[in-house]
Amino acid sequence: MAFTGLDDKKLLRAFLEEAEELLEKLNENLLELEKDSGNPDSINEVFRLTHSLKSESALLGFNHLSELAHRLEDVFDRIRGENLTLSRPLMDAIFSASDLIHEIISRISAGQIETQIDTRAVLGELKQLAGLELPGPSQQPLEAEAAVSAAPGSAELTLQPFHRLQISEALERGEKLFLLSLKVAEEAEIKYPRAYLVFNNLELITNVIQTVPNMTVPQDDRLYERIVILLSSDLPEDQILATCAVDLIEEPELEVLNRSRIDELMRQGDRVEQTAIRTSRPTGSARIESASVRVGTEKLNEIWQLVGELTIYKAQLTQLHDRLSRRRENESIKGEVERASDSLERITAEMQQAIMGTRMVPIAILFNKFPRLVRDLSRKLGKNVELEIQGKDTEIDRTIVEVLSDPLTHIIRNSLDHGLEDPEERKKANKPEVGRISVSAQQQGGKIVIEVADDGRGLDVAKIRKKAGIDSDISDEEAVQNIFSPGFSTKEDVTDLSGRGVGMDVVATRIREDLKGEVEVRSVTGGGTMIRILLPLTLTILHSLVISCAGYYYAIPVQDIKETVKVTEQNISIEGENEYYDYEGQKVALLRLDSVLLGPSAEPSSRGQETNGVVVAQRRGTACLLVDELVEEEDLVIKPISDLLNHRRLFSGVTVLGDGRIIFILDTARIIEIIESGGFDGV
Amino acid sequence: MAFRVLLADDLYFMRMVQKEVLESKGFQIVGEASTGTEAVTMYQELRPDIVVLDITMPEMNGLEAMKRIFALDPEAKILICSAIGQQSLIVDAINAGIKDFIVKPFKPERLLSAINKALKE
Repeated sequence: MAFTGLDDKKLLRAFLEEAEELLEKLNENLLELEKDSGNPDSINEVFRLTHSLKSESALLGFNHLSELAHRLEDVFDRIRGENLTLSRPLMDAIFSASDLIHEIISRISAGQIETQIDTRAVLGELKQLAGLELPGPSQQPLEAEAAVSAAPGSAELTLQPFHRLQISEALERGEKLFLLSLKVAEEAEIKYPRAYLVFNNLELITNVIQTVPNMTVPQDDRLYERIVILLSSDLPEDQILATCAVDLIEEPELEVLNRSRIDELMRQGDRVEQTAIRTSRPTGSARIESASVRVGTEKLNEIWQLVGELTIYKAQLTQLHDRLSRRRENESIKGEVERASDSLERITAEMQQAIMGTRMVPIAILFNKFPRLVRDLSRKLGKNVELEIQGKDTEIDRTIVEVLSDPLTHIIRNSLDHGLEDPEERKKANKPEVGRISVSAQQQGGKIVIEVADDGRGLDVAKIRKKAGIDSDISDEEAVQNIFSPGFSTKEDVTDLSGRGVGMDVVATRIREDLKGEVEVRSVTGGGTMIRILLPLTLTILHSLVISCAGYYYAIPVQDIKETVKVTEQNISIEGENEYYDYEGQKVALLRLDSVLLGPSAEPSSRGQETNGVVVAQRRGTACLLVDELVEEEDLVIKPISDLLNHRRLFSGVTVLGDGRIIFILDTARIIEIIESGGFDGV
Repeated sequence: MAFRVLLADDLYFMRMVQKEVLESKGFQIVGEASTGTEAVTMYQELRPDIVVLDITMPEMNGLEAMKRIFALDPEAKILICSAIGQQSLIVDAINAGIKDFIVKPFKPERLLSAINKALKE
């Protein structure tokens, strides 16, 4: 249909400009396919381009053009569905069709009518070679597949312990479990935001437990053709289904899960856990999943690992070059090695950056959903709340964001639901009627720190003490940490707990076990609650200072170091059992690293002489570490370290240097923490 | 009574397309804004039932205008008009509370279906 009588010229000009761009890209990708007919990126790109061209030309009433584009779209839909291979004759026909599209567009732009060109021959050829005669052959298999996978629905869901705890909690609250499945219409050009619209609607009124595909971090757009969502709610079904009443959402089906279905789901979670990663997938979804980011991330990790190794060899080459340059002969070879070494250094640095970039996403993709969540939930609860968000640009590993979404949402919900008082109560307590919740993220040293704070009533310490059976000699500050203890909130009378106890043990398990992070709570009765999450930057390359101590090598992340200093007897003072270093007029704890790492029996090294000190700073304090030698600065690929090798958790990771030396990376935050709590005896 | 619609798009022909489609189904176009600033001012004056807001506009873009409209009226019903390639902006807008979005170039039935569903809520 054409919009006659409108400002057609403007519309036409816009269309032609865009069509030209589309055609250029189409050509590029077809040429690519001529070289490599199986290239999935090009196949998808051509599909997308012809699809756009089809829709736009149809909007303006260029039916011949639209039909040609449509046929090409069909052909590529079949190719990407692996129902058709790109043969030589087919490729020729595709090129003819593309040439014809070119021709039609140039005629349109010259003011001629598109129907002057005969498209029948080319269309016929395409139909014959691609077997398109059957009515809608490209769609049938897709729909059949969807139907098959729709039946078992939940089979696609894999439940983690976190999800199962959420399920038990929901059932304890008396909510029902639902499985909602829906389709995003094929016509929707971009599917993820459309699916997200429903997801967002659902999140506001129900408790979404798990979605397939992941909704928090966008994956390949085509994965969002079919969505399965597991949720719990006490709302009637029609109200839940109403969240699907947006354009281009089709066939929403809501299934109430009865006891046996729930048991089945829970058992399935066990199975998945036991068999670890499934190697084969149901045939129906395999095709789509093969293009998913999940697999992509695995590949990324592989590349990451390789870059790590490259870094190691780069270091080795630099060392060789240093050794070589100390000799007098072979000047020309030295120059060549130097150039090669420089290039390698530059390339590895760029590769590191690039790959790091693909892994890192701004935490905004997580934080941006909170304003809406807070706005709607506070309205539902009749509370006035102001939300403050800081540090949206903080970059964080993509996989961490995916796992972090659930726990963080849970914390904010708790804050709103249990932490903040209603306006009446706030008035009585002489507090501003509008409650505040602040969410912030920042990178601190080698960690990401996320804080969620509210100015609500704080935790009920007395109840927590009673519930957990805590002795009175334990401070309030320590007592409240019990909300993170396993099983704490799944005991009876959970909802009785005023404050934020609900489900925090589940949150903590997720953060501690899945993310290797830390979580702690501060609470002031009547003043508010703050939850701080510390997340490691795993899988990262860390710029570190390598030091030696009692014959072994260790590394200290450069970002933790304030300064390296020369320490002499004059700037050491002794108080009781402890030694202090006079650092710019400030007394900081002095730690002889050898006695910590090798035990107090180690020979006190170089007492009385000038020694090297490394001043490290963390949130909890500053310390000066005495070491034997400052060796070199290196980019180290951090690998996780097993707890068996990590007594007292003094190390944050381990790495292998270019020459094969194994180096432990010192966890300065932990070391300072132990110093502050007087944990190193007689140091 | 006819639903009152505010259109905001910097391109005249886009507004014309939308206007024709909507008026043919009995909607009343109460205002046409060509910048984000205009959209906010007109929203305040006209209090339409729904706003169709383009993302890319001069002076103040659609997302900023959306935020200001929500600040004026948290219950405002807003549809965003976007182009392919603006996925992350759409997700931001969904988080901010828009009812639906339309991807340009769109067919008339898309606009009608989205607007009807958003108003029915």
